[in-house]
Amino acid sequence: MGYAAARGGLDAITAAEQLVRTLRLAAPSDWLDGDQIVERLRLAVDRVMGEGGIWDEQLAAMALRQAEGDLIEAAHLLRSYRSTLPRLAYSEPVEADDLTVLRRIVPAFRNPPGPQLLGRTSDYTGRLLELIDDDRAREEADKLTAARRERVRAAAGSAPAGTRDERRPQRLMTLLRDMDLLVDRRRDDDPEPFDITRVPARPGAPRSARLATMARAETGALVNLWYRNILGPDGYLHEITLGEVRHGWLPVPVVHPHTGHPVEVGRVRVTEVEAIEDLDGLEEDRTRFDVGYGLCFGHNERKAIAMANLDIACDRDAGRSALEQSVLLTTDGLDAAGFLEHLKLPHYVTFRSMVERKMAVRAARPALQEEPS
Amino acid sequence: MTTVSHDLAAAIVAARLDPNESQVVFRRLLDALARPGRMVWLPADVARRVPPALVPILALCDLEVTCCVAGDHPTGVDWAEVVAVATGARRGEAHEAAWVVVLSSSSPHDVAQLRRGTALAPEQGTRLVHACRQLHVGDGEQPWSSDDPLEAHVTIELRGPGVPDRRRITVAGIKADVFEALSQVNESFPAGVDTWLVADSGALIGLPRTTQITVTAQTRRGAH
Amino acid sequence: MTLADVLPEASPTPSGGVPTSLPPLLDEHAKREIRRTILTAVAVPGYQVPFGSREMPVARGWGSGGLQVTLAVVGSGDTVKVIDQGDDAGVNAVNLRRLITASTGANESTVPEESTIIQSRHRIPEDELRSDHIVVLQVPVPEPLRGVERDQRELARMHAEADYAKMWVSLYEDKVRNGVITQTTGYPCLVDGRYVIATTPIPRWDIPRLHQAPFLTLFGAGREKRIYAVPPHTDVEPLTFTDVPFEVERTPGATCATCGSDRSFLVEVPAATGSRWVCSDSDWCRRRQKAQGHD
Repeated sequence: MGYAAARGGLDAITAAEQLVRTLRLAAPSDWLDGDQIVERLRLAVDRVMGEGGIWDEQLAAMALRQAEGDLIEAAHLLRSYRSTLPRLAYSEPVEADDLTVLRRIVPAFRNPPGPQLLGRTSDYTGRLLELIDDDRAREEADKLTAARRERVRAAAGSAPAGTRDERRPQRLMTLLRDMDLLVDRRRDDDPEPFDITRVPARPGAPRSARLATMARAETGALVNLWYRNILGPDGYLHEITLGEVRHGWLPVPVVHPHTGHPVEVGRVRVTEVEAIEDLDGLEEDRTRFDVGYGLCFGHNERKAIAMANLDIACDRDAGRSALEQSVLLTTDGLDAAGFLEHLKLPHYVTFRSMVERKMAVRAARPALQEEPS
Repeated sequence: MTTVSHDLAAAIVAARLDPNESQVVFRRLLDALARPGRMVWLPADVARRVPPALVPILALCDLEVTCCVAGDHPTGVDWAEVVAVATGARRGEAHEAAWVVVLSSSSPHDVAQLRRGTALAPEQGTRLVHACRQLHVGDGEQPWSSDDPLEAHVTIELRGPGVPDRRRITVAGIKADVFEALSQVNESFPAGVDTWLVADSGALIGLPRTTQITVTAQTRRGAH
Repeated sequence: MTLADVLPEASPTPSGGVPTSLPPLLDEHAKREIRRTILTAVAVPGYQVPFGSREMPVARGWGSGGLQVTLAVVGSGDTVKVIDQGDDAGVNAVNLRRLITASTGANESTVPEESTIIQSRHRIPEDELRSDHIVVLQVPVPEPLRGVERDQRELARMHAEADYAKMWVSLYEDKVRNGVITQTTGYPCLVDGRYVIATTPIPRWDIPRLHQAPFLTLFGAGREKRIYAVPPHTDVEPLTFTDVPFEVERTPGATCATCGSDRSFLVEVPAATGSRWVCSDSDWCRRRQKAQGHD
C-alpha cells in the first residue's frame, strides 16, 4: 500500500481504516465498557472533556476508547462531533459561589473561612507503583465495591455528609477584600463573553477570550507555558500563591422558553482556582494583591492552576510581551498537534520548488561555491 | 386579530428556507457579488413566496447577526417580525445592523448612516439588500415591462474586481443620488458597504464595496 | 462503523448525485456563518476574514479550512474534484473527497471540465478553467508577512494600512544576499493593488493562473480561522522589482516521462539511473496520454 502518489487511493484509505478499526476492536482481552473508562480512568475522561469542550462523560469515554488512549485524538473526536450539533440556547451566568465542593484547599491560609476539604487527591499519597497481580487486584476491588454499595444503601434517606454551608464555603477572596488587601477590578457592566468558537481570539481580545481559550487548551501546553515563563528564558511570570483550589459541581441554568424563568438543566463538574498575585510593579498598587482565575471541566488541577497564573500574568503584562499571543494562539491541542503532524502529508510540490530555487541560487553566484566554509 | 396572525404565521412558514434552498440562494448571491453587474436570478420558488429582497437574509441570517428590515411592502405584512422569527436574527436599527434590507426606497442619508466597519475590521461593514422595481443589463434601451414603461431609471457603469473592463446596468426604483451616496461610503475602502439589488422579478445584481459606480444616465418619470 | 461501511461503491456517479451516506459535518448555522464570511472575503479581495472555524473530521493543518469552505459552497447538484499536489488519488485528497460527497450528495470527478468545485492542496489544475468553476485552496498559513513580523497586532495594522514595507525590504535583502528571490511556493502577491496574500504553497508556476482569472478562488485556513478570496477578473501580481522578473519553476530539458509534456508543472522522480520527471497534475497527464494513444 503506497502513500502520496498512492494509487488506488480510496482502496488504500478504506483498507487502512478497516485495519485500524479491526485491530482496535479485535483483541484477546475483554471489551472495554464506557463505564469502566469513566470509573477507572476518570482523570483521562475529565481531561478529554475539558479539551474537547463538551461535558459528557460517556461521550468522552467513547472518544478515548476509539482514540485508543490518545488524548488529543479523543478531544478531536469530541470537537468534530460538536461541529454537527446546532446551538440551541445559551445558559445563564452562574455564581461561582454556587459551586458545591467535593474538594477545597486554601494554601494561603492555615484556617481560612470554611473547611479545608482534602477530598480525593493523590497529592499526598506516596508515588509508589502498586505491584499487585490482576487477580488479587480484582478481588480487592470487588470487595471494596460491595462494601461501598452497602454503605450507600444504608445511608440512603439520611442527610448528605457535610452541611450545605460546608459544601459552599465562603471564598478567601471575600475575606481578603474585607481586609482591603485586594485591588478591586470588579466591573459594573455585564459585557457579552467572547465566543472563541465564533470569533478567533487575537491579542487585544477581552479577558473572557483568554479564559475561554485556556479552558479548552491542552493541559500540557498550559503547564509548559507556565513553566517556561517561570524558569525559562522568557521569564515573565511570578509564581502565584494559591487562594482557592476547588473541585465540585456547578449548576447549568437555561431560561425556560415558555415561563421565562431559569431552570437547572444539568450540572457540570469543574476545577476552579483563584490565585493571589503579589503586585510589585512601578505602576501597580504595591500595597495590595491581585487575583488570577482558572476554571476547566472535570478534575484537572494542574490545568486550572496554570490557567489562573497565566490569567493574572497576561493582565499585568498588558500586551507588552508576546505572552498573551502565546496563550491565545499556541495552546490549543488540536491546532498544535494537527499542524505538527500535517508535515506527514505529501509536500513534493513544495520540495520541488525549493530544489529549483537552490539551483537558481547556485546559478546566480557560481564563484561563491569555491569559497572555504 | 386572527386574520393578521394567520397572515403572519403563513408568512413565517413561507419565509423559512430549507438547507437546499439556502445553499442555492447563497450561490446566486456569491455569483452576483463575484461578478458585479452580471444578472443572476433568485430561485423562482423561493422568490415568489416572499418579497424577493428578503430572500438573501432569509438564506443567510440567524441568531448570530442583527438584521434591519426597512420600508413597507404592499402586502402589509410585518416582514421585520417575519424575518426575526423565521431566522432567529436579532433586530437592529439600520445604522447598526449587519444586514439591512430596504423594501421600498431609501435616501442618500440612509446609506450614509450604514455601518461601514474599519480598516482593521472591514467585516463589520453592513450588507445592504435594496429592492428595486426593475433591473436590466446595459443602457436600458430595451423595452421595459408594460407595467410602467416610463418609470424613472438610472444607468450606472461599474468597474473593479469581478468586472472585465466595465459593465452597465439600468435600475428602476433607486435614485441616482443613492448610488452616489454608496460610492462615497465606499471611498473609505476597505471599510464599506456591500450591496445587492433585487428586482421584483427576482433578478439580482451584486455591488461589492470594491465596485466603482458611476452614474451615466438618469431619466425622470415620464421622460424617454 | 467506518466510512467504508456507509459509502456506496466507488464508481462514476450519474448526474443525479449519490444518496447522502453521512450526516452533515457542519450544522446549518455553521454553514451560514461560513457563507457570510465568504461573501466578505469576495467583497474585500485578499483580506483575511476571521471566522468561527469548526473542527472537522480531518485534523487542523490537513485541510479543515478548505473542507469547511467547500461544505458551505457545495450543493447536491455540484461535481467536486479534490486534489493534493495535483493528484486526485493522493490519500488525503481521497479522504476529503469522500467526506464531501458522502455528507452532501454531491457528485465527484477527476476531470475539471466535468467539475464545478475544485478543492486543492497546493496546485491549480493545468486545464483551462471556466467562469462557473470555484477553486478552493487549502491554506496552512494564511499570513504572507509571517516571515517579517511576528506580532499579531502589528500584522493587523500592516494589512489595514497597506504598509508592506517590511515585505519589500525582505525581498530586496533576499535578492542581494542570494542573487535571486528565493521564495519557493506560496509566493506573496498583491491583490487588486491592495492586499498582499499568501498564495498557499501553490508553486510559482500556478501564480499567473490567479491573475484576471475567469473563475473565483477561495482560500480556507481552518487552523488559523481565516478565509480570503480572489474574485474573477482581478489583478494578482507577484511582488517583485521592476528589474527582477518573476521566475517560475523550470528545469530546462525536463519533460514528463509519461505524456511527454514540457508545459506543465513537473515533479522529480529520483532514481539511481538519473531523475525522471512527471506531471504533478496526474489527471491532466492521464488524459493527455490517453489522447496520444489514439493518434
